[in-house]
Amino acid sequence: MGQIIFSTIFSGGAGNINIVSNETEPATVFQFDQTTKGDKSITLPMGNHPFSITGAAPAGAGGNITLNISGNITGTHTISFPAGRIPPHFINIHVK
Amino acid sequence: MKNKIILLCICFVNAVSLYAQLPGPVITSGTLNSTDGSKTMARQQSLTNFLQAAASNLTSNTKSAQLKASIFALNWRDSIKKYNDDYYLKHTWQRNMQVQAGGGMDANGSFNSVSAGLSYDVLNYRDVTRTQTYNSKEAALDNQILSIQGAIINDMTNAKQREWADILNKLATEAINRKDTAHLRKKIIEAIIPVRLRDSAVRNDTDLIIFCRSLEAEISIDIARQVPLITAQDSTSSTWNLAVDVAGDYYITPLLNELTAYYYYIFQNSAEPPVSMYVDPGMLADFKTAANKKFQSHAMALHGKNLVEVYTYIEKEYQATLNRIKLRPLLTIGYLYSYNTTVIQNQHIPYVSFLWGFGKHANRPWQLSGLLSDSVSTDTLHKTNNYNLYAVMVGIGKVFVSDANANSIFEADLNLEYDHTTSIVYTKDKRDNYFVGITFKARPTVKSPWIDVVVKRDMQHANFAGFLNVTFNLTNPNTSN
Repeated sequence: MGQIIFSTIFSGGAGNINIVSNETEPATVFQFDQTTKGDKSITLPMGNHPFSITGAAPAGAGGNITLNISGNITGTHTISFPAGRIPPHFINIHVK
Repeated sequence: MKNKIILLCICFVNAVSLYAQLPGPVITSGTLNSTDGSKTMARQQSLTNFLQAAASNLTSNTKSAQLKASIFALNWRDSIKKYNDDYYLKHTWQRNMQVQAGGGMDANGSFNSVSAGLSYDVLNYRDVTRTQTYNSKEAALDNQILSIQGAIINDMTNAKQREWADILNKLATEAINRKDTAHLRKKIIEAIIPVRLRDSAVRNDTDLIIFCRSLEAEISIDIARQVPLITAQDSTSSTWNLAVDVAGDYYITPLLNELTAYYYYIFQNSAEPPVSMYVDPGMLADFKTAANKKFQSHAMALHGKNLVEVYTYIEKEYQATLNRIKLRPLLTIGYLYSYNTTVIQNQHIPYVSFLWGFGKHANRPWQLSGLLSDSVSTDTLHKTNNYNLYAVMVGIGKVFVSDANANSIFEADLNLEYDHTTSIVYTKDKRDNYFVGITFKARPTVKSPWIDVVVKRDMQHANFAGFLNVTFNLTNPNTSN
């Protein structure tokens, strides 16, 4: 088992980002917005775990969401989403 | 940012007039400067999020130029700190407050006027950066779609891992039977790693090397024991866990990268991408076939019967939401001072302006506008504030052509103005004046400057006048107004 930690940085106003794991029923959803952006974590078995990310980064100039993924995982992940609707973004997180 | 500073300095040094922004007193007979305020109907002149430069009356003898900026645009703070959401949201007032400065020159090319102003959006419901555009309805739709896709990804991943297990078992069994682990790594690479990922880096892949060594060690033990040991797909097997690591690198991650690239392309182009970038085309085709089959059976709820239709709908809905927000009411108060070396010298203009958009088509909306101003001024003969003119203007505008992102490309404004002078009235002028004007605004693309053509008619003097103006947005044109 290993822990995955998600944290976000919002830039340029109000936005929202959802990180979804469909390995559980119902799906596990981590929801962040500009008021609830503290670290959130999940403990999962070793191996590969696909996550999908959706939402909307703050609209307008300067709008951006930076998502950091850390913990007992292979490598580090920093994903930056520019202003606007976030198309489905899939990522494989390997718990080690 | 350096360019902005230079431009701002140039503007202040040159010090010119800002008559073009607001109705002012009738300066001389034969000109219609007092009605040049029709340009205030343009929403970008009421709400300036960033630096904007404008040149007015380019075709007449007297010309003017203005520079307008929000306080936020002039905030020199490092952009990372400035746009940090805490700071950004606490400093909304900076985005709602604009300063402007300008000047003008006479027919001889000499500077003859200077002006400065301040305005504040007391009601601004059209700031998309303060509005949460992702709502529960969108989240529910996303969750439904992702649930379908997540199940397919899980199924494909499990199927691929079973396939890998069979391959690894076969290779292990062959090696045990041969009692030889030679060339095992080469065989593994050829058997499980897609051709397009077999670059030179593969042979140096740490995960792959560790996995192969572990498998070789297990097989060697099995050879020594003279018993076949099935290593693959045993969750307790450390070798199998290493195989899963490799599967993540060479199958799951490329597949997810491919899907991400696929959706980004659909969002931007509303069409299928021409080629797959990360995986063999067959793999993406398998995913699309499975997803579209599910989508077709839920087409009504998902607003589309395939991936392209569903995500084109989502992107359009998002843009429509933004466009609806941008039409909300905006009420601005402001003050403008100008000094002119000719007839009207000191002029003070407090004003209130209002904008409200409406219409079925958010991409090509209608827009109501209103302006109330009071011009108090002195002239070359009277050193006290002896001239007072009230102006009321109402207008209606319509965007006729917009680009794919709903940015206006061509629009027109029709406006009516009534001026009433409560003080002295100059010779040849009347106490009450009526004007009707129409402004055509066009630009080739959203990044091009606006070209305004203003045509006005003084209803009492039966005079026509025309003006040609150019407005440049000096920073991001896709602002919230």
